[in-house]
Amino acid sequence: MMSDHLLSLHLKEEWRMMTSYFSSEKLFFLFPLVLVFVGFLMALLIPFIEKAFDIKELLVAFHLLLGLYGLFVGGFGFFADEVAQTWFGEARLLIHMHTILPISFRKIFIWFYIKDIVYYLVLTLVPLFLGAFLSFTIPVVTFARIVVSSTLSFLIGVSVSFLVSSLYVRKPLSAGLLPLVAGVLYVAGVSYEDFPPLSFLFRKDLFSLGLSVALFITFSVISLAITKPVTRTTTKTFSKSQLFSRVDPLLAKEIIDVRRSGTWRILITSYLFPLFFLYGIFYFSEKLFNFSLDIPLIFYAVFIGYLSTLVYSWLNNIDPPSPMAVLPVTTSQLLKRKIKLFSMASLLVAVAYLVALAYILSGLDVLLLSVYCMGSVTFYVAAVTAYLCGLYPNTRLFDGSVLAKYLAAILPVLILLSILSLMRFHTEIVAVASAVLIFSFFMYRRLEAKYEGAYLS
Amino acid sequence: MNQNVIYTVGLSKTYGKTEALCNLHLVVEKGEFFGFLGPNGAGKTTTIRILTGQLPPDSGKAAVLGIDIKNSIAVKKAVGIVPEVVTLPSFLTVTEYLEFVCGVREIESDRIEYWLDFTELSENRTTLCRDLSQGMKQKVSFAAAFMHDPALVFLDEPFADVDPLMQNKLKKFLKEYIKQGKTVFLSTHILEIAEKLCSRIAIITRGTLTTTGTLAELLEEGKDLEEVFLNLVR
Repeated sequence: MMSDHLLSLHLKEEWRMMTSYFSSEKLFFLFPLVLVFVGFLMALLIPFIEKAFDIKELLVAFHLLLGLYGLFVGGFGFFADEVAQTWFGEARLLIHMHTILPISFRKIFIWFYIKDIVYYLVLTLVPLFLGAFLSFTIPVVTFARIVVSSTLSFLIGVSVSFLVSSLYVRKPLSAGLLPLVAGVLYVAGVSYEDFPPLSFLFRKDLFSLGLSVALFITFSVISLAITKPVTRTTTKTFSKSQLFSRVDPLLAKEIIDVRRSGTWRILITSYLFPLFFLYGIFYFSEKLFNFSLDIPLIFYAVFIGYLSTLVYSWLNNIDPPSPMAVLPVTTSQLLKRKIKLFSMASLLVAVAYLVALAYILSGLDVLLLSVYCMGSVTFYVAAVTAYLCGLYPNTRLFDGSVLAKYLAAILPVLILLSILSLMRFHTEIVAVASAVLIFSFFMYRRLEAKYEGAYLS
Repeated sequence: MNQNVIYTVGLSKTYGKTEALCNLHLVVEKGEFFGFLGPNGAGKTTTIRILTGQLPPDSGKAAVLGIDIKNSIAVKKAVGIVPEVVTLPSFLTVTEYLEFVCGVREIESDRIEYWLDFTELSENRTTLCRDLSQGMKQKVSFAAAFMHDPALVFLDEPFADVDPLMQNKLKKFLKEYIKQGKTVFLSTHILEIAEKLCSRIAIITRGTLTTTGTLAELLEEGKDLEEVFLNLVR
């Protein structure tokens, strides 16, 4: 009875936390609907894609993607309480209630774990499968097997993530065991086809199905057995930063936040996955259309400039602006310092990536132009995001009207610069990038007027 | 000379369908230790947030130290605020936060040592604010509010988390502060504190001001503040 209640409370909590990021609950419902459509479209396109691709390769990619998604869901779930603490102060999730109520952490954690699985299965995988099913392009038996194997990939991903997190909380170094095991398997010549869910899918053997289920259960049981709550046992101390005597206090605070929160690591790595993704698109496009796309460095520069939105979002995620509410500080002052820091941080990291890409793509001759182009896109994206979303880009961008304005402002610039880069019209690129830069400064200056009198909360 | 440091006319605020503040008329004079009492959810914090420029009212007007509350930055520059829920920058140490406050307020940071000593936080000066206990956070917030020696401070349940020794010290400090001709606006639901410290008291219930007066005026013969309070808020 109590257990059922715990599950429903966990589910309600997750739902309310997620919907609080959206301007209305209705918008949140759009998300699974979009997934139904995506699933439908994906399945509908299979007969065409089949002509260009090895379907087996696609299925492997799909399963790996779901495994990664499971890892992400598990990781986020485990540290959600920490995130909520930073943002909402004393707001606590149910998982923390063992500290004040006569209930063990393990008992709450078990239902938290089940909640994570149920919630994300229902919200994301079920709509995706439903859409694919409605297209009636895949034979029912094959479809059922794909559903089972891909769901198992997801579940194994979640359980591995929880296992790594549990190990990490107990002893940070022991989390390295799993990459070590993965490395050993790789060296031993175990291929991705031996991944039990894929093995079940391709070889149709029940042993692999059983092994998949066993892996999920074993990882889960170990994780639940060794789990303990995340607690900060050390109090960090720092000698006084000299930054306050060098730069203005708001900028000093932003720089210190980035350093001490460890966000600088995220800033460096946040470009990696999207760049890898972009490379993947070109790889598949090449296979699909059967011609080689010679992507110039400036094209990547435009893309990297756009990726800076992520960096700006992270900078706004470090610490909530609520402490500033009792001080004589305006929203526009905070925004301008964020953009200053953002420009310094992102340009530094992005230029490093661009130099590396210039070397790989043999594009050193257009490096300066690429840096200029990337810089103007970066500053433009930041100015537009700050203008439209203020200090809350992660939540405001979920608002339909804000998102529409954001896309209307960003997409034409990105498309135009991308086309010009592919056509290698360098003079035109300089002209457009300069115009974009001037417009960015205009928006930057308009921040003050727009956020004059805006209340910090 | 106008001695009113807080002056409001018809202040109102609603959150969705909840009327948090309804047509508030209030005058606080210079040198008063003004107690703003009320049960939980009565509208005390909303009033403070509006008067200190943290929240716009839906209707009505107000001035604090002669400054229109619409000019929120000027209000925040002039007053000191200890909020009910203290949030401090997570990744700054205690000293750095106080230095930050001095920087933002454009004042010299030579008072930091005095306040660290007064609030007994010298040993925690290098601790990150997020690692402080709730009581310590409240003490840091208290120091930050008084750093620029304001003529008026808003204290929202300032004694809730601090220990009795520190409470005693803070109360003595506030009494001295009032003697210097400065003003305190204290929001609390702890009646004993209001009874001991405040020269004038207002009671608010469900967003509406129910009474205002000196302690002597409020206390009918043979009744104590608790009885008066309970009669008014029930």
